[in-house]
Amino acid sequence: MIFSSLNFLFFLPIVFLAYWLSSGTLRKLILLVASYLFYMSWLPSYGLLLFFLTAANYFIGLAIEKYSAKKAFLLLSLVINLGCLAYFKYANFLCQSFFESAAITHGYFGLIKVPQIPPVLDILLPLGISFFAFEFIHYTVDVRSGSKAIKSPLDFALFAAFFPSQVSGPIKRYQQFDEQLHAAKKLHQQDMVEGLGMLMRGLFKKVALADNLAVITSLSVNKVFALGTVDAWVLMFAFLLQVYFDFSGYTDMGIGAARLLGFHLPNNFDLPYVASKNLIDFWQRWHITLSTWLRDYVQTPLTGFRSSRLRFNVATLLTMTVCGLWHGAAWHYVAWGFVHGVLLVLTREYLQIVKGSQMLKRLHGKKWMMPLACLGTFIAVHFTQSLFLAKSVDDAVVIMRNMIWYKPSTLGLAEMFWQSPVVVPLILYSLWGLAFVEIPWLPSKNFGFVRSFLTATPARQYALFSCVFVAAIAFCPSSPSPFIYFQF
Amino acid sequence: MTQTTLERPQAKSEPFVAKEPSRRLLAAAEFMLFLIVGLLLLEPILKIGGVVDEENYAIDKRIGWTPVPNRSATYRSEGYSRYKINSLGMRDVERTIAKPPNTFRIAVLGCSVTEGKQVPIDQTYCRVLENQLNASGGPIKYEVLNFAVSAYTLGQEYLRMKCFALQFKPDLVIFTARPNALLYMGPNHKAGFFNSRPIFGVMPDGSLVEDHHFQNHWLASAEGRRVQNTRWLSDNSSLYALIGKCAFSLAEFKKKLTTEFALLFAPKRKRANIIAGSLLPGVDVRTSKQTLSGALDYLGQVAAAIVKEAKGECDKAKCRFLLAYLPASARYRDAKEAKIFSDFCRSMKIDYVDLNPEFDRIERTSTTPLYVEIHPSKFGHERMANSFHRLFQEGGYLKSSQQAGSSHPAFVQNVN
Repeated sequence: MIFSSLNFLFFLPIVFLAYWLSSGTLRKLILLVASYLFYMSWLPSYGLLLFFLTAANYFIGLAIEKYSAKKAFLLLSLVINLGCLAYFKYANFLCQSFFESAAITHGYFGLIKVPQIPPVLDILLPLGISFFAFEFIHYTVDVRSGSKAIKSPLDFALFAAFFPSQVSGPIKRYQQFDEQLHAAKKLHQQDMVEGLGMLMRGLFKKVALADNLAVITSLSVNKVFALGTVDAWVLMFAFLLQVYFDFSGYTDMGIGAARLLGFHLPNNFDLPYVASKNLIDFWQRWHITLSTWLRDYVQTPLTGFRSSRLRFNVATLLTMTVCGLWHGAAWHYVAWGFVHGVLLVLTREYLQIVKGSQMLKRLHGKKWMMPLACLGTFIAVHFTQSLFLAKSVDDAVVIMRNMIWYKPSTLGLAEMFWQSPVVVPLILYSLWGLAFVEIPWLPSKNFGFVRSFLTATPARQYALFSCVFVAAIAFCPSSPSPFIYFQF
Repeated sequence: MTQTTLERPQAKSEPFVAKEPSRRLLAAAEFMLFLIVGLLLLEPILKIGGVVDEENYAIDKRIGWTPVPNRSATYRSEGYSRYKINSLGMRDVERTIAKPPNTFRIAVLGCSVTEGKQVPIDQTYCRVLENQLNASGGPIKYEVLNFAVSAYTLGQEYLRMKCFALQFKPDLVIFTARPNALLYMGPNHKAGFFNSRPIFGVMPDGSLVEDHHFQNHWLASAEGRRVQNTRWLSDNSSLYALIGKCAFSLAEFKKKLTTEFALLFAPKRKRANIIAGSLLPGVDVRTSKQTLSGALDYLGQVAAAIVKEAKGECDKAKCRFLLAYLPASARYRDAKEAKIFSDFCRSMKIDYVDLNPEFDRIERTSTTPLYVEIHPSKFGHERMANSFHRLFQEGGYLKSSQQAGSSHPAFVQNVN
C-alpha cells in the first residue's frame, strides 16, 4: 500500500475515525495495529523483522539505561541494526564486488579462480529498512548519551512502526515523538486543514508531476548511448524534478497523514532547488532529516569536537560517501556521494576565502548574486545527478559526456517534454509556489493577497483541496510508477 | 517558510466543536461556491493539459469505436505526444473523401503501431512514406491515408476498411497486423471501454461470423450505458471524462479486493482457479490450458477468413491489397504467428510482407532505438517507411489498378 494508492484512500479515513473515536491505550493500540497492517500489506513476513528489531532495540535501550556495560549494549545494538541493514541491503552488492575484484585479481595474477557469473542471493529488501534502522541507532546512541529510554513497549513499538513515516521517512527523533505521544490530543481545525493540505500537495506532486516525469526518464535511462546533448540535459532535468517531487511528495503525504492524527513530523525539504545558495546550503534543505542524522551520528563522531580543517574535510568526504552508499548498493551511488563530498569540501574552502576577502564579500552581498548562486547550485546538482540516475558509473560517464560534447538528438526528449502533460501541472505548481511560498530572491509578497483570499476560512481551503485532488487524478498517468526512495 | 523541527506550535486553533446550524450552513455554502468556481477554472486547464485520453473515442455499434473528429489530446503511455484527430476521424492531416485527379492513394489500416501516437504526426511512417513518394516530384501525387485506430483487431480493420476507407477510392490497401494480433482477437474483459467491439469467428465451412454479443453485453452494462448516454458531456467536458477513468480504476480495485479476499479463505487447490477467474470470469484453469494451446491455430483460421474477405472487398473496389506484418521487439512476438500469416497468404495468393527480419537485423547493429517500448520510435517509423518505399518500387505497387489489371502475382516475402 502506498500513500497515492486507492487502498490508502480507504485505509486512512478508517484509521482516522477509529483513532479519534477511541482514547488512551486503545488509541495507541489502534495506531500500532494500523501501522503493522500498513507495513505487512507488502509482504506479511516483513512484519516479523520489524517486530524483532523493535523488541531487540527496546530491551537494549532499557539495558543501556540500567546497567553499567553501556558501551557493550550500544555495540550490540549497532551490530543488530547495521547487521540487518548489511544483510538485506548490501549482501548482494558485497558479494558481487568481491567476485568482481577476485576476477580482476585472477585476470592479472591467476590467484583465485572465480565463477564467471557471481552468485545472486535471493534476498528481498524489506521496505524502509534504512529508515527504521537509522531511527533505532539514533535511539540507542541517545540513550547511551544520557537521554531517557522509552519505558512503555507500546510507545516504543509505535515509534518504530508509525505508518506515516515508516517506509520513506522523515527520520524521526524519539524524544519529540514520545513527547507528542503523551500529550493530550484533541482534533484541531488547524491540524485538519494543514494535514489535508499537506496530503493533497503531496498527492499532486507525486501523481501529477513525478509520475508524468517518470515516463520520460524511464524511457531513456536504458538508452543512454542514444542520448543527444539536448536529450541528456532534458533527461537530467526531468529526473531532477522527478526525484524531488516523488520524494518530497511522499514525505508531504506522510507528514499530512501524521498531522491528521495529531502528530507533527519534521519537515524534510525546504526549497532545495530554488533557494540553495551553495551546496552546503543545498544539503541543509534536501532530505533534512537524513542530513542531520548523518551530521549527528556519522560526521560528528568522526570529527570530534575540536578538529582540524583537514580532519573535518576528511570526515565530510567519508560522511557523503556513506550517504551515497545509503542511497543504494551500487558503485555509482558511492561515486555520487563522493563527488558531493568533494564539492562540499571545495565549497567550504571557497567560503573561507570569501570570509577573508572584502571584495568577494561585497560581491556576494549584491542582490543579483543570490539568484545566480542558486542557479549555479542547481546546475552543479543537475550535472552530478547523472551518477544517481544511471545504472552504472560507465552509463553516468556517457550521460555527462553527452551533456558536454555536442551530439544530435535521436530520442526527441525536448519535444516529448513540451508535449507531456507535466507542463501544465508544473505551471500550476509554480503559481501555487508564488502565492504560498516565500522564495528568498523573489518578491513573493506581491502574491500574498491570493494566499490570504484562499485561506481566509477552512471552507475555502477544503474547496481548494478538493480541486487539487481532482487535478491530481486528472493528470495522473495510467500506470503510476513506484516511489523512488522505497528502494533505499 | 516551513516548520523544520518537531517542536509543537505554540498557538493552537480551537478544537472541533459543533457549530450552530446557521454557521454550518454558511460554511457549507461557501465550500460549495468555491468548489464550483474551482472546478470551472479547472475545466479549461485540463483541456490545455490534454489529459483524459480514454474518452477520445466514440462508440460505433458496428466497428466498436472510432476516434472523435477534431479532438486533440496528449498520448501518455510510452512517452508523450500531442495528437490531433482530423475532421474525418483519422489520425492524419486533413483529407478529402473525393480523390483529387492524378493522385495515387494508399490506404493503411491498422492499430496503434500505425496510428503512431507515440510520435508527432509528421514522424509516423505513413507521413514519412508519403513525403518520400512525393519527393521525386513526378506528375502523380501520392497520398498515404492513415486509417489506423488504437487497439483495433484485424476484424475491426476489415470493418473500417469496408465501411469507411474504401469510400476514399484507394489504389492500394495495406492491411497491417501487429505482433500478437491473433491473441488480441479474443474477448478481453479487462479492457473496459475497449470491450465494446465485435468478435470474429469461423464456421466449419470456413465462412466468417461477426459476433456482437460480447460488445452488446458491455454496452448494456452500467458503464456502457453511462458512456453512451453522456456522450455530449464527455465530448465537451474534460472533468466529466475523468469519471470514466475513475470508474475503470474503481472497478479494477473492487475486483482486486474481491480476488484477494477470496484467496484468503480459499483452499489451496482452488486458488489457481480464482486467479484465472479474476482474469477472465468463468474460466476453469484446467480447460484454459487446452484452450490456449489451440487458440493460435483457431485464431489463425479466423484471421485468414478476415483477410480473404478484405481482399475480396478490395478486388471489388479494384484496388491492390497487401498484408504487412509490422515489426516489434522479439520479446513481444510469437514466431508461430508470423508463420500462420505467411502460410495462409501463400495458399490464398495474397501479397504479404514481414518487416521483422529487417528490424531484427537493424536492432542488432544500431544504437538508435527502433522502439519506444512496444511501439516504434521516430527512427522505427522512418525505417518502416523506407522498407515500404523500397518494397513498392521493387514490387511494382505504384501503378494504378487500371494500369496493373485486377489480378496480381502473389508476393510473399520478408523484407531483407
